[in-house]
Amino acid sequence: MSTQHQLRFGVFFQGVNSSTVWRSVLSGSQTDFASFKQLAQTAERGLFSAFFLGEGLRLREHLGSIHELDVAGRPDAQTMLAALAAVTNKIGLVATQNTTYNDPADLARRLSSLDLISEGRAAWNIVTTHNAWTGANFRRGGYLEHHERYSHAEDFVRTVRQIWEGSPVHHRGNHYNVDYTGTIPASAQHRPVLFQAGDSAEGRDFAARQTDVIFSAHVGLDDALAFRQDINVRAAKVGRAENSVKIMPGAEFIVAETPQAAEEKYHWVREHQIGPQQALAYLEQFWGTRLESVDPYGPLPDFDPVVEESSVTRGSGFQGAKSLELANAWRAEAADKGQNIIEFVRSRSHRADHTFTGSYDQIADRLEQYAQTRAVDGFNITPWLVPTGLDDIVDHLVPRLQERGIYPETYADTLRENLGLTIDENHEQQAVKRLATVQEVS
Amino acid sequence: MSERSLLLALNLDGAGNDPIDSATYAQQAEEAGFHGVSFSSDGLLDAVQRASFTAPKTKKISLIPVIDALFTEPFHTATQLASLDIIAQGRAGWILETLNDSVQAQAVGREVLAEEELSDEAKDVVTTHRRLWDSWEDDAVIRDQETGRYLDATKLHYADVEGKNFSVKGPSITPRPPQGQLPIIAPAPLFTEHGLQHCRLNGADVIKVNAASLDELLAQAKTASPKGAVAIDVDIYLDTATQTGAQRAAAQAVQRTERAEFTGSVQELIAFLGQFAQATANPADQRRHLVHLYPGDLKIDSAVLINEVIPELQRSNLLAPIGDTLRESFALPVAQNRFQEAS
Ligand SMILES: Cc1cc2nc3c(=O)[nH]c(=O)nc-3n(C[C@H](O)[C@H](O)[C@H](O)COP(=O)(O)O)c2cc1C
Repeated sequence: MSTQHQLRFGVFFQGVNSSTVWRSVLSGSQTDFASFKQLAQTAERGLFSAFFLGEGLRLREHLGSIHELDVAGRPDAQTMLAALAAVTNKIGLVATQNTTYNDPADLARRLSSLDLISEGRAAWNIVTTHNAWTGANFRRGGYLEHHERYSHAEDFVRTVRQIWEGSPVHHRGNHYNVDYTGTIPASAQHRPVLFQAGDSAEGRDFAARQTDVIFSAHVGLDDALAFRQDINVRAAKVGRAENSVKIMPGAEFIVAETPQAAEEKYHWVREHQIGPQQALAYLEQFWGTRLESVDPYGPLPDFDPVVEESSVTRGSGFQGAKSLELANAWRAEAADKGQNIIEFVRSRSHRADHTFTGSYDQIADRLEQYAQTRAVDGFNITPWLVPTGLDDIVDHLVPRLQERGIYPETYADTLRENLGLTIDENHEQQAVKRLATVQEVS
Repeated sequence: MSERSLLLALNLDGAGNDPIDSATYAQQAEEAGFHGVSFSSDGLLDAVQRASFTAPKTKKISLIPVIDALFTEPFHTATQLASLDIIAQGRAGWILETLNDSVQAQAVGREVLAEEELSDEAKDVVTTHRRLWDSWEDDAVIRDQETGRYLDATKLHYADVEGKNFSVKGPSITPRPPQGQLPIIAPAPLFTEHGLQHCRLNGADVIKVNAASLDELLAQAKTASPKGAVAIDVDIYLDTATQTGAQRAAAQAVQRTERAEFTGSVQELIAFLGQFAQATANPADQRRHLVHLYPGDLKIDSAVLINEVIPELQRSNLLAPIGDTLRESFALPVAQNRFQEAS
């Protein structure tokens, strides 16, 4: 079975979202160290490759005030991961960190630090959030235009890579200069592993040039295969071998002993994720006004949105959209399917192909297809419950995957090894190559 | 002298870049009765991360990173320190530095500040931390089934700091730390009329004096102590069976620091600490003061401190009781939230 493609699991502790259940007595603290420790240790018991922390540098807002309806409030990623390094031994520790509101020298130093503290288990999930609204929390404010986000991110990552190589860095960029020489030696895995989460064409090209692993949003088998193909083409253009950029989509798992039990669990999860207030708030983003007098168990509002563009809860991952077009399409869709507001929102806010629902055996069979077709290198599982949300996966699904020969039986030492990555010297040199000299734009 | 007013902290930079070694020293210091251990970033692994790594391996000892306030992002350092306090359940503090040199500045594409700007900048940075730490009231997470609200937005506040060189909107992305406000220990020159205040809502809790000689250090501590808690930094080289402290200090290849240096025997160190306790004594309000020791050699000096100095200090009632939090060890009052309605 040694040639069998293996899948790896990561756990994405998102921290701020609408998919973590908080309305149940089973839901624990989102902040206490004990929750993080329990989840990380459970993941390690299940030989997960990585423990991810998400990041959002401004508290989400909805229609002009703090968004109240979802879990929120999270510890700083690297501070938490350094503590988790003390209570775990092998699992990778991945910090989502932004390229707009960090300084390359500071981030390079802190990531190398985490990499040494964890003995070669650190990674950086590169994100590019750049809006002025988030910038209001930082010295530089909102200095980046949307179209610049990836050229800036790439400059940033190259600068970080240069620092990691230990050479003196003198970077002159559009937005700031960096003169710095790193002081922290390399870890057992050479440098922190680089993940990237961002899906536009520029985002994909950036990933092909700079990163080891893509944290993707393409979960369904066909979608995942198409994405793999697309990334392989982009990677080949920059001289990287087929499948050398690893792909791990984010996914939700709702699993149980039998298909019926899984189905019941699925309904329980959705009911607890999206209540009447969350359903209305979802529509409010697009209608641009409070809908508190609307019945969440009735049809979608028959009046039109008061805004042209959706204001979408700030800090969430959505893009702007034309409100009236959406409203019309949604009213038609909901009427067609006979859905009331709450049913409609539940169906929309969790894309069906992002969730694996079924018995342990059913899901193991489905994952076998992903392994056989090499559609993905694994999944980043977003647990819907903290801190026990991985228990059934680790206790029941992982053993079935191991029986099928598509999941690791042991750990290697570093995260790089655990992800099946190697250092391609040639590519490393390309990736850090002389920073593009960018002329000042006035 | 039975004042029990001194806190003792040991700097662990001598453990270098081995976090396990460093955590082992922290455990020994905890066992022995130190109030805190400190970590600075000077060329070493990140100070907050080393402190954080140490947190799950210790129970009582405070973890105090030394962090620059000039060339860092206040929003990031505020959430890092709050997170350390969450992880260590109230055992975090901050020794604030102003590393106003061109190497630090150019690393982040900025310029060094004029000397007279430092205290204003430190004030803005500290204010930002204080306001961000209060921006979540302790009971902002309500998990209210009835209204479907996880948070109560009325208990979250914009920090709205408009500093001279930067502004920060807030609220924090991290809930209020267990101590509410972490003790901040800051250098005396920052406490100017317009700059940092001592023991005020937006100020620092502890003023750290520095001097070239021990006598001068005592004199400064005496002058500063009526306003609030005081800290002193001291490099120490203790006598050992084979060498005097002075010999050890002289043999040091490394450049001497700007800190006052103590060389001598266990008895002499205890006598000096007694003088410090006396110089800062303030029986009226039970104020506590910090002695921050930088061992010339962590291995050698920590062994003498642990085996000989601490037991003697305990016998002579110089050491403050160790609280569950660093604020408690400093006997600081519970930190009221500035945004909370007086009810
Ligand atoms: C699966 C996934 C997870 C993400 N997680 C985060 C996150 O935790 N924090 C963040 O600021 N952005 C996150 N992002 C957003 C991306 O970094 C990026 O800013 C966004 O997708 C827009 O880039 P694009 O135009 O290339 O898609 C995530 C994106 C994806 C696809």
